[in-house]
Amino acid sequence: MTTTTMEIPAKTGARVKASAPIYGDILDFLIDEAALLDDDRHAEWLDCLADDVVYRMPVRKTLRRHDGKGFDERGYHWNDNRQTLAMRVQRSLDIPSAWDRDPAPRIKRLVTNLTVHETGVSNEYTATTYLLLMRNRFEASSYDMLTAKREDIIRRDADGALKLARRLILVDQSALGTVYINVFM
Amino acid sequence: MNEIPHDVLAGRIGPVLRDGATIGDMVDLERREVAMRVLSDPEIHRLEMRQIFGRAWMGIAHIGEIPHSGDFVLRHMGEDRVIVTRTPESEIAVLLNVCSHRGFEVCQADQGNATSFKCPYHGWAFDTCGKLLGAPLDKEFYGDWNKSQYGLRRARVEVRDGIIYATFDTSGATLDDWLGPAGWYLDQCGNDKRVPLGPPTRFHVNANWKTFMDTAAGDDYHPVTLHRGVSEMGLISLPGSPGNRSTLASMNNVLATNDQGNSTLAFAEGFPIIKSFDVNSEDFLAFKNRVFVTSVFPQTVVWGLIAKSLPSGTSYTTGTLTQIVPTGPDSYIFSTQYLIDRDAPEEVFELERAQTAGNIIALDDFEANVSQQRSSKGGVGQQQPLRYFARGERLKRKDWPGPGAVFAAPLKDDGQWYFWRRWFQLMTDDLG
Repeated sequence: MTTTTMEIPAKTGARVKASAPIYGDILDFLIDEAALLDDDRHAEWLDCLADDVVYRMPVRKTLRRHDGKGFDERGYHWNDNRQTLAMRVQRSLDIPSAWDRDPAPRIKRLVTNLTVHETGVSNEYTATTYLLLMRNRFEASSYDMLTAKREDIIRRDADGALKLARRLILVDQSALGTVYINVFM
Repeated sequence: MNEIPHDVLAGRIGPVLRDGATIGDMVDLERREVAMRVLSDPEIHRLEMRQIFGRAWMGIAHIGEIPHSGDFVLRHMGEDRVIVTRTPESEIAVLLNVCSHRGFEVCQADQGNATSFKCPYHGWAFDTCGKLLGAPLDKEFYGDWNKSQYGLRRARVEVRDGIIYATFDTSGATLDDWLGPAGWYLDQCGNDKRVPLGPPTRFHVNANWKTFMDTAAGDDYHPVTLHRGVSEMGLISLPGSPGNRSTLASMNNVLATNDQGNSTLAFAEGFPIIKSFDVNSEDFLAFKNRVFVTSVFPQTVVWGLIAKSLPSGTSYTTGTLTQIVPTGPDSYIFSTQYLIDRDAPEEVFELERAQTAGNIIALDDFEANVSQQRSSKGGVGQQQPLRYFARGERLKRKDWPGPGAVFAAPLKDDGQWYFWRRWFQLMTDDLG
């Protein structure tokens, strides 16, 4: 395996209390990020990403307990960098023939259970959240639903802005309940 | 001539449905039409499980997934779950994952290594050959009983070009019979020299299995419209898109189909693919000739021989094993595994792990499948036919080295029509 930020343990430092200013800044960042995606403001969403962002969702398998949690780094639903994410944005919004996007699906990303930890790097924090993504199309009464734990690394850059440097999406379904692709998590 | 003359199937009626309609009423052999009712009728679905999936050979795993004795993966054959494992003698065994006592599934994990499978219900335990090893208190319960009668049901297994095929049919038809001329194309793929990149990526699609397999059986008409998005992105240049003056008629591909309902789409030299998925690696996906995509009726699609190279000059090829697993009349599981040359350097595996994630082309196909499924639910819509009347006789090609009924260029529906003819044949066979 080549070394990427994915190999950095998610929680290397002290827990940051919810009362700390950085916790509030990260919470605002993540809520704003979800709103940009829900509102199809993808160009602005790309600005939230660090240039070296690593964006991954490994395949999950059902295993016996002694064999582990089942995340398999040999197979990915998402394994993206900034360029490929930009390409997926183009696929979603900038072309006339994106049949799954027009008419637009209604999507809500509910982001909860934020915990923040310091890392070994002074301007980087790990942010762990739960995600409930709900997608509705046409006149369906039901929703496509995806739940995941996200282990992010969020970096404060030289200008003071927060950027997403890594997102590791730990999905709960082994066979996804929806055609997920191009719905950013 | 390999084609089935019309009169072989004409007049077949098959099972009678509850409302008096027959399977024969669903297919019009003269007009080449199929009633959309076959996509969502639960009664037809139940018949398919017996008439088709109870008899079919299905590609369910790659040999590289279970290299060692006791390795196993859990897979589907139709709506049945099976354990694909390797015995201490290194033989491949495919076992129905249903305890012979009261039906509890003896294996619950997608993957692992085990010397035996013990049912959690009453404790009956089976070895990797499916043989019953023992049961708690069996002497007290059953006295002097013959354990050999109570093994797990074992499927027949054959390996072809690295892919493990299995069937629960006991009539003796071989995999070779089932594949027909498609076997020749599968043998060209080189998947026996590859290993799986990783576990299958899987998701549920709210559509009947036949919607996907119909497209996979050689629909080379749909890409110019349904997949126009990838052309608009500049990833692939399709006929009629900006800067591409070619027409659908000039697309340089070949379709080889057969009476077994299996079709191979061969992209010959010059297939107009101009750019790779990853903008940083334009050279990697430069398609060369000889790409074979073979759909094996009813639930398997195998790709092989996609030639690629690294900037360093290292060249390699890839394949895929896709399964379209029915999970009821209105849903299937799409399951895909990528296969990479066993001897390729690690950087190739890393690159492929990035490039194969999130297939944006198949995304379009699911849109079509789901919409067709909705259409088939309407009282009137279910009577409307799916139409396959573009006849390919004029495109028959004699100079192609491979077997089967071979057609040059798109502009015909024959691959899909052979698929539906096979469906009709199997559904109307009298199984007694």
